[in-house]
Amino acid sequence: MQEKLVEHWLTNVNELTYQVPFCEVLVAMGYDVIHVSTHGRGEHGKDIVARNPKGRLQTFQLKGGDITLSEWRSIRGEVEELVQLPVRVPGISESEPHTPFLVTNGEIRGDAIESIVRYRTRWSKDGSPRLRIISRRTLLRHFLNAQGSFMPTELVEFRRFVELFVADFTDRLPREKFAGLLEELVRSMHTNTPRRTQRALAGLSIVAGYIAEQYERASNHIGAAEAWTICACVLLGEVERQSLAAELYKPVLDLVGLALDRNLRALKQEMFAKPHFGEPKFGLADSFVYGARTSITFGWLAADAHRQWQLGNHLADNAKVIRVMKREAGGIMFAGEIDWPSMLLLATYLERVMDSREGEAVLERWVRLILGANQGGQEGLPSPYWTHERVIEWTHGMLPPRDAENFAGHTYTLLSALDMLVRRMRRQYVAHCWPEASRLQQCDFKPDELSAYFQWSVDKGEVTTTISPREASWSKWREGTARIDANQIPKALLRHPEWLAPYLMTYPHRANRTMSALADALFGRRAVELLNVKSVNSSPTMHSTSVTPATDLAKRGAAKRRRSKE
Amino acid sequence: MLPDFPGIKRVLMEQMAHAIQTRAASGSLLNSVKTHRLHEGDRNVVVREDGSRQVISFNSPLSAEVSVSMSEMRKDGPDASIRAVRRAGDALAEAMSKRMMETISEAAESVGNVVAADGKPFSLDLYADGLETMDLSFDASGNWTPPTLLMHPDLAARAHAAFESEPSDSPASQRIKAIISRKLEEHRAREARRTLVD
Repeated sequence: MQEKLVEHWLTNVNELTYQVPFCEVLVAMGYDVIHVSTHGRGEHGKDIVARNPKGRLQTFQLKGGDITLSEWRSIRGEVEELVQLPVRVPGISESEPHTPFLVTNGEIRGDAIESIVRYRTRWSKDGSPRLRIISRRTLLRHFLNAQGSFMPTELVEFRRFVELFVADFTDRLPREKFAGLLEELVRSMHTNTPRRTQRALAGLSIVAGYIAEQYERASNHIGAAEAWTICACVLLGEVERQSLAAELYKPVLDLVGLALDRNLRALKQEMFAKPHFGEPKFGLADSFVYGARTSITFGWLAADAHRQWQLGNHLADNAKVIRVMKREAGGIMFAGEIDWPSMLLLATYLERVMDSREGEAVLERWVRLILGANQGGQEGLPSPYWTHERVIEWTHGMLPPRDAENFAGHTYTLLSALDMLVRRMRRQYVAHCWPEASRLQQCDFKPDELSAYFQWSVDKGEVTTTISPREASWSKWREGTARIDANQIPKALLRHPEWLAPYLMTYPHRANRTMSALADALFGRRAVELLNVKSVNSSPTMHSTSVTPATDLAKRGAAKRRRSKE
Repeated sequence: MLPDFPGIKRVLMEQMAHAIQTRAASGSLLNSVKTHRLHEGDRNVVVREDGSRQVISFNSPLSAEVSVSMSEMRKDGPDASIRAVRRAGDALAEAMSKRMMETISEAAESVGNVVAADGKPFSLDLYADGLETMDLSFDASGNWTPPTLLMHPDLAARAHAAFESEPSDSPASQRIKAIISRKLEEHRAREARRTLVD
């Protein structure tokens, strides 16, 4: 049954969307993936460059579907480049020989077989390396071997996997269910050697990819982005829990990052091409969800920008993004405190690409929203635990009365927003808001274990409900917001700040006061002192890193070869 | 196994669980108290204005056990389960009220908000003594929200009679009016302190 599911998935993927899962397969097989082409066909016909476990260089060109004679004729030029041209990746000598592989998730059909054999022989006679072919059967076997024991076998988990596998991929990703599945799978991970750990992490990513890739195939870019982010967060949870060394998990994490970035790029491309944010399916009902879609999309656009800046990449399309935001801003509607990460990321994004006033205006709007929702006996704002879907269902009478909850008088995010305004020296505004704000009880959740930050739901942890003092001190507040205790933040997140923005967008209920402060320090570039920083096993930077995944992969590969030679 | 309907039964169980909770809340003192749901964690820490903290652990949940016998089920059908739901709700209501009284008494003892009647009968003076020890609630217009009095039904009847029979210009009544007026000023002073200072 499992094999049938994977085979069905493999039959329906395209060459772009199975690229990252195939890389994870290579990692699980002990390969060192050096380069992955992220924008269309790779240079010199090489989509993937990797070293096999024996250190030999291999290159891969991925194709989707059956290769017939006519298809072969149309791709032959690219395959010729794959075979005949040297590898051109930083850190690898062009004179180093490589073994080229043509990979397809389909079959080689009819006269294509003979033609490929003839050209392969001719190229070999000309001194080029011999072309190898990996078609569906072999590819399926590689996937099944690489996923290892990660396909769920217990009935409950298998049912959950199948439900996710056959979901409506144009709908929102059921994040709690997907996270729950991956968390359960990782709990069953038994690894007693570094190699097994790395293989297990790759196997987990492959299984996650069976779901994530289908959202991508449906052009549900944010669904796919959330799925890949959840996969990354489950990995980071294990990194935190086991204090895993970077060389064990970073190859897998970087590949997941490539998949995330590809989907966020696709989101932007689609957004630039569309004159509006409407979706035609069940069009008459679209007005009920347009506002939530706008808020989510704005948040992810900002998250993508912050992630790229953390990776040291330059963004050339901010003006286009701002134009679209200005066009759509009037349609934004907030479901509840679940929208806080969107607003936090948007505020810090606008601050950076426009000016501080724009960012502060977003924060002020958020503060007014919460205070307004709690005035005059109103119901309050739904907590961050209420997803957009749930709020929309509730608002329009689609949930039973027993699901009702009382939100009045409580808030999870108001203090985080006020903290940001305090850091921006907006004393007059904060003073104006304080009488109303102090009447609300401030809630904040912290899990007992730092690794649990990466879990969707946590049993062991503390909800603090604070009845604010009537009188607040500006100087003490300023002092308090200028510091973050590193012992309260997962080290994995401090080591990989490029994942913070997608993490907050996907796990909005984790944007507590500490996490919001960290985000403001990193993205708002506010001067914040990180306390207990010696406990963090990396440079305690609050600023952007300067390494891109591809460069990092090449450098790491070169370092590994140097070590093996030594 | 014999033919079953777990899909329908699951929905009915959810509805009955909700009905038990509703009945328990409406039958207990907690009915007058707003609730707030906590979605995660195993404890709640309440931090008060004065900085004091109270930890409320979730490791001793209240529960009620009910059963429906096969003979009841055969004889009465769904009514058997509905009666069980009512029994569970009533049992939980009693347990919740008891827990609430214990918690309030503990809290009152810890801050000294206790007035000992020393065996004296209920009177407005005794009531006024109680009002002296507490912060009173007022709405935005300054109207007093009287506290909820919890007492035995027999005492409640006597207390009600005492309130009804007391003339509005009696010393006790005047004392209560003075207390309320003073507490209102204290409340206004406290509210005026909702400021951001240096």
